[in-house]
Amino acid sequence: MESLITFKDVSRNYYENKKLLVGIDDISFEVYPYQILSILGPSGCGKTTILRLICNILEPTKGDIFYQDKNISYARKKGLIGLVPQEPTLLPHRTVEANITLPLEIRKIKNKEAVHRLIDLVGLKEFEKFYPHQLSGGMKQRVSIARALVYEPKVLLMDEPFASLDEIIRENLNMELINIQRRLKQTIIFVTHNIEEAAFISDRIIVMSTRPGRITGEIKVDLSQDRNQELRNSQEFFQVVKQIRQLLEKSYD
Amino acid sequence: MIKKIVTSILIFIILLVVWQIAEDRVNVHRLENNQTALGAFIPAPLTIVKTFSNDWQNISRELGHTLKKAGLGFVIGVVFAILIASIFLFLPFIRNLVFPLAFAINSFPIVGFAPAIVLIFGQGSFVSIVFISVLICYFPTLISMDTAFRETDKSLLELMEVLNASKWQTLFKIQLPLAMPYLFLSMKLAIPASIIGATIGEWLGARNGIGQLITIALYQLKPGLLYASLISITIVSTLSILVLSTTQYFLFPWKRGGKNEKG
Repeated sequence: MESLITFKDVSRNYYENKKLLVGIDDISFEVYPYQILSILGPSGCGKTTILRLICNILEPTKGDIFYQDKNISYARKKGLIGLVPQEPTLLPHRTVEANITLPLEIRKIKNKEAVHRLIDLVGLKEFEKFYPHQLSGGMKQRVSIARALVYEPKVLLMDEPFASLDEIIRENLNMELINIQRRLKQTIIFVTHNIEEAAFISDRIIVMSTRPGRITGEIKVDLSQDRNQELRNSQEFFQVVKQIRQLLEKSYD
Repeated sequence: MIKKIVTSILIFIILLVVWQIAEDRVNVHRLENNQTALGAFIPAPLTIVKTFSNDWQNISRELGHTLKKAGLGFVIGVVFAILIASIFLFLPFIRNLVFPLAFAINSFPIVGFAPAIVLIFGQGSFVSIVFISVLICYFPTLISMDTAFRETDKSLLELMEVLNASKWQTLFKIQLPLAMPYLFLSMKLAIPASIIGATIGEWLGARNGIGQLITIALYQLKPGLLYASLISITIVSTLSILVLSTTQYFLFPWKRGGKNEKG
């Protein structure tokens, strides 16, 4: 399969208290189209750094990042990348509807239909005119996802989007995310530190170690494409979780 | 809410009544001893009310003149401050150069600085009075807009960057709307300031305005008129702030209600 995003020997250093630290070190991997790729690792392993590099709001210290065969900056300029940050970061002065319209406004596109379709998709139909401070945490995160999807980016980056939500809501949103991904044929890069979450939603998982951030290993998830809640209790699922756990434990050595 | 308002009005009325009775008593005493009535220095509430009804046309006309100048000064001051704050945002090196100067100008005592301006633009001239008003009211707006711009949520700015938004789009869609509550707060400070500025300008010699009326009242020993002038200014300031607060309530529904109502 042709790679959509390619990291080639990428390092990124940063300074903290004037001390040079290695954020991620010599990382190479591919992201394939129409797949969900999870990046799993302990906090501080550079997962977020990787997303920021893809968003092109950080430049690598060393190495190259490609979108197909072009530099990654092309992808941002063409609006091919969507980001769902860890916190929903909604505009407090805009309603749900107006928040989701924002990316279209910036591109000077009028497409009310797309906005309403997405509001439907994330299940916020009755909350269109609500302001962020009137929504619960899970609802805010749905708005954030709808906003990232509204301009139909080829690649969706998600930075621990469900980390602050409770378990059941997280599982429901996992399910919804998979449904959306299948329907819109999205490529998703999903950062998480939750093993079960990674196992449930991913086609592939990259496990990282910390300080410096390096890739410990990669897992191909061989679960059925039709993921549903029953899967969480199945033997195969436990197998995958176990496999991930073993790899992740190595990251801490 | 209504209970609060009623209470404060009641306290106010009680104060006035006590004032009136006290002054009447003291006056009886002073006149018996062949002293000047206290009313020559501090008018009693009823005297002020009487002055208001007698000199209403006079006061309202002069108040109109002052408000024209103060209003213009306020608008120029606020617009100017927003522009400067926006320039600071886009060109931080200018901010570093200009901000100390803005602070310095603000720390000039206005009663000393006002004559300097009068010297430049002419005594009692419309321009000099508006200028003094601008000078005294731009600062709160500049400070609060600058603070609002600098404290804009970094993650929102990053979001705009990811969405490939231009600097203008970020300004108009994020920074300005989020700064609006700050702007309204500063305008509430700037309204009385602009009226004070205009009054000081007139006070230094003008053909009309409340400032001039105060001077006349002082020289003609009419404390009733003096107090009535001051009170008329207070009423206008308070009403303007009330209008602003109401506008703010309807303009920013997203600021209504507590942030932590839902988890």
